Amino acid sequence: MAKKILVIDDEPELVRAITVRFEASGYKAIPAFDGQEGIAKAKKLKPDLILLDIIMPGMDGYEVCRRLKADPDTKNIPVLILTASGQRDLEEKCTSAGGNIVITKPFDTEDLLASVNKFIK
Amino acid sequence: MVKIRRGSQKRSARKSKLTSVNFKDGEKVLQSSQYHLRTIFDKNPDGMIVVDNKGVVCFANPAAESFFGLKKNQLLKHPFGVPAIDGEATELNILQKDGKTGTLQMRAVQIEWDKKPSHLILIHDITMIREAERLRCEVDERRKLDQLKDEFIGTVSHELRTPLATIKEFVSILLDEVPGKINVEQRDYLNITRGNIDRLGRIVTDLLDISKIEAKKMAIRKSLVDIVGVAKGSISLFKASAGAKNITLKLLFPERLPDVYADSDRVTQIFTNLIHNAIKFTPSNGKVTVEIKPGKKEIECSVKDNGIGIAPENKDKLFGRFMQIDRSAGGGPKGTGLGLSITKELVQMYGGKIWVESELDKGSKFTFTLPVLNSQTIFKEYINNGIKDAVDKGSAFSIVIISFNNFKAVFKKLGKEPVNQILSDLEETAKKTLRRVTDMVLKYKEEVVILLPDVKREDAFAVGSRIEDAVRAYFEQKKDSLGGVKIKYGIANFPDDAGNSEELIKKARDGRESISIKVSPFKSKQR
Repeated sequence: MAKKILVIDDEPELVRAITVRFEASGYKAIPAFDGQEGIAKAKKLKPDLILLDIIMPGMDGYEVCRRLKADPDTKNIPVLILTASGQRDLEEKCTSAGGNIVITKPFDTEDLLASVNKFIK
Repeated sequence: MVKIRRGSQKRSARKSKLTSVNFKDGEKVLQSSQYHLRTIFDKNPDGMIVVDNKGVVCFANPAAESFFGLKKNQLLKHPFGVPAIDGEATELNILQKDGKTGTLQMRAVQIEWDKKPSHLILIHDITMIREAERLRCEVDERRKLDQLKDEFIGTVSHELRTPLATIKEFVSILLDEVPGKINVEQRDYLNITRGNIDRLGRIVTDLLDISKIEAKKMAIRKSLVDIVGVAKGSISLFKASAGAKNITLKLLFPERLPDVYADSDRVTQIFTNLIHNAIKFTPSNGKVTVEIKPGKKEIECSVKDNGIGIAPENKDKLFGRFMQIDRSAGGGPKGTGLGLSITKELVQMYGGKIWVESELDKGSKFTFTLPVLNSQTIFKEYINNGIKDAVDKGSAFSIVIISFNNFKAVFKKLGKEPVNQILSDLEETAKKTLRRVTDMVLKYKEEVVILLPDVKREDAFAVGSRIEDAVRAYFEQKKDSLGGVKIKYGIANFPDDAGNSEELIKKARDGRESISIKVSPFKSKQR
């Protein structure tokens, strides 16, 4: 069965692009357009990996990541952070929130797929 | 002016038999009190002016004269010009001798002067107070502005990069023929599109860097950097682009080099900017050489090419912004014209210098230096910066010190070199347990110090126990040769345990929280 990747990002068009890419690479992509929806879907659908945006209206990505890592149901799911933020302390903030890896937008598809493959074998 | 009626005093002196004996003394008392009064008026740093009810000045002390920059005769019998309102404090701006504006505060009280109703005006110079208030406001304003700038930079970055990500991914999807086959011409156009998306992405990154430097928001993060490692890493990024032009890319470095105290990401950025340019402006089959040389107090790094070179008249312009001496020359993707300007700013930020030697058609050599500091300077700077940061951010700073519990005995038994080896091993062991780039391990005198910026007390203990496990494992391995070594470690935290750097070091050194590790060849048998 195809591995499931939950994509949490408030940009529907980017989510669509990533979905097309993942499906073409043999993954099943599950979209979520805000933090709340993302957490709910993570708990319910138990994805193999989560792709998480940082700057979103409402709950930001750091908080989503902290909650995912605090919940026994979701804490073992690798979280790949995908962000357009230009903050320098980004990487540290993501790591301390429990994120496993950080990729900045705009990203190279090869980098994204390589990182995903690293966590789901 | 002040008149004390001597007559009446004389009369009262005469009336009394007792005082009449001391008439001469009375005169003296009178003279001395007059002298006291005059002193009070003359030497008072506050101004005193008496105006009659028509507003004409009847009296002014020297302080008042100097406040207004007028002589006594220019003040006396002249209208004062400022209405005296009893009991109310009024402020008056004046032009001071140095051309700056001063502020005077005036208070008036009703008095009788030469039997006429008048006002005594007390003048107090509050220039300094107002100046301090103004400065405080300015600082607050600047802080607010900085914060706005910071937010703006963050927002602009986000807003520009998000659509770029979507465009880039869809173009890549088309290029990878996910929805269907494309022909050669379509592929060509899409490749051009993707190249320009990347260019726009680089411009956004460069502009962000420039804005951060300008807003002084570029976080200066320093730790010990293995410069050769950074150079190797930077060079490896260019294997493909150098290979495509058949350019030989070489790194020359001496065997032993001290670490520099900088930020490895930023040093990588400096190297990659220079190597990128060198490859770009060197024709096929050329040579690019990166060389690292130790200097007295710095390390000198150079990137040399045998490319097109720079005309002498262009050398000065080179490090300016949006400077592209010859846009068509390099070929390949166009630059942003910001690279060398950013490189220069970065080098300077870490206390170094950058310059270029070049000859047209022969090649260029860009050289930059980075200072080498001794471990004591680094140690102090790191702790002080860490504490300052903790104060600014309202966070914390922790240190862990690993040392010998029985240094003298160990030193006597093992000798200098082995002890040094243990310390180096401990340094490496501790380094491996750390997870953040900002954490630093330093071998300092007979200790290994682990500096943990932005780490709370309880988290420091978690790090401490990880280090303890690693150190125990190390000694377990070496127990046959290192029997009798006793190790202790202490943890201290700012602000919980100590209020300044000296206290912090002392607490970590002698702290009650220290745990000792005994290495004994019989340890495993005893268990």
